[in-house]
Amino acid sequence: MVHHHSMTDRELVQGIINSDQAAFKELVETHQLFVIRTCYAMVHDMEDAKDLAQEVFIEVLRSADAFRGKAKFSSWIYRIAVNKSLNHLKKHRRKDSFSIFSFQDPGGKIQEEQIADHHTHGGGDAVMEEDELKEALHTAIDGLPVKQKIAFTLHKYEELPYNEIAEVMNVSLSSVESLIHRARLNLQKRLTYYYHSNRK
Amino acid sequence: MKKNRQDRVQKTLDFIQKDRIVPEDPWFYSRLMARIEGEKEQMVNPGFLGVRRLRLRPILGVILVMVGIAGGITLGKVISSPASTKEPAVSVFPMEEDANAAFFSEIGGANYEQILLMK
Repeated sequence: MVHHHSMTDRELVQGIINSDQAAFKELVETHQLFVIRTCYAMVHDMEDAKDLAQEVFIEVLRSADAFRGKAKFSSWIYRIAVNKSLNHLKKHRRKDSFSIFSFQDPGGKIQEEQIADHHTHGGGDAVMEEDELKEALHTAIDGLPVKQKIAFTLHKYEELPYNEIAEVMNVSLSSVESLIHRARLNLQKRLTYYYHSNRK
Repeated sequence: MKKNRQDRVQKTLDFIQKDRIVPEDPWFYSRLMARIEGEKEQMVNPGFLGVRRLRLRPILGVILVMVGIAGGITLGKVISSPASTKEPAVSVFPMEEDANAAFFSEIGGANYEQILLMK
C-alpha cells in the first residue's frame, strides 16, 4: 500500500517539474516499495524488478509534466510500472517458459503434455519447499492472458481495490471484476494440472 | 488424492502473501541517482558511441546507399562499355601458334602431310 508523507501528489508533481530534488526523493521513498513489488509480480525476478523500478522513476522524472491529474498519481505510476514490465517481458521472453502456458491463451486451455514434459522433476508426496511453490505460482501466473495477469497481480500483490485497478488499466469496474474472477479460475485450473502432471 | 491436490493448489495461491514481501532497499535512491547522473553525463558527453552519433546514423546510411548506387552504376557502365569487348582475346597457347608459324615459314607454306609424303 502507498504511504503518504508530507507532500500531496500535486505538490510532488509540481516539485518534480521544478527539478526539486527533495520532492523527487520523497516520491521515490514513498513509492519505491510498491513500484518494485508491481514489477516483481510481473517479471518474478527481484533484481530485474529493481532495475525496472529505477526506469519507472526516471520515466516519471522525464514526463511529470504529462501528468494531467485526472487519475491518481499512484495509478499513473502503476501504469508506467506495468508497461515497463510488459516491455521487459517482451524483450526477455524465453522460448521455453512461454511455450508451457501461452500468453495468447484466451480460452485458458492447457496442453497437459507440454506441462508434464516441463515439470517431470516434481516431488510427488514430498514436502514442497518454498522454491517449488514459487515456481508453480509464477509459472501459473505467467500463463494467464496478459490482462488477467495485470488485474490479478495488482489485486493480490498490491492489494489494490478494484476501482483503482480499473483506473490503472483504463477499463470499467465490471471488467476488472470479470478479469480477476477468470484469473482465479484459470490459476486453479492451471495449478491443478501442474500438480496432476507432477504426480505422473 | 483429489483433496491433496486441492490443498496444494490452495497452498500455492496462499504463497502470494509471502511472495509479495519486498525487502527494504536502503540504497535504492542513491543507486537511482547514480544512474540518473550517469545518463545525464552520457547526454552531455555522448562520446564516440553516444547520442550525437546515433542522430547522424540515418544521414550516414543515406550517404552509404547513394555511394553504393553510384558505384553500381559506374561498375555497370564499365562492364557494358563497347571498349571492353574490343580487348584482344588472350591466346591459350600463344607459343604453339608462334611455333607453327615458324614451321610453316620454313617449309614455304607446304602442307605438313605433303612434306611427310615427300620424305
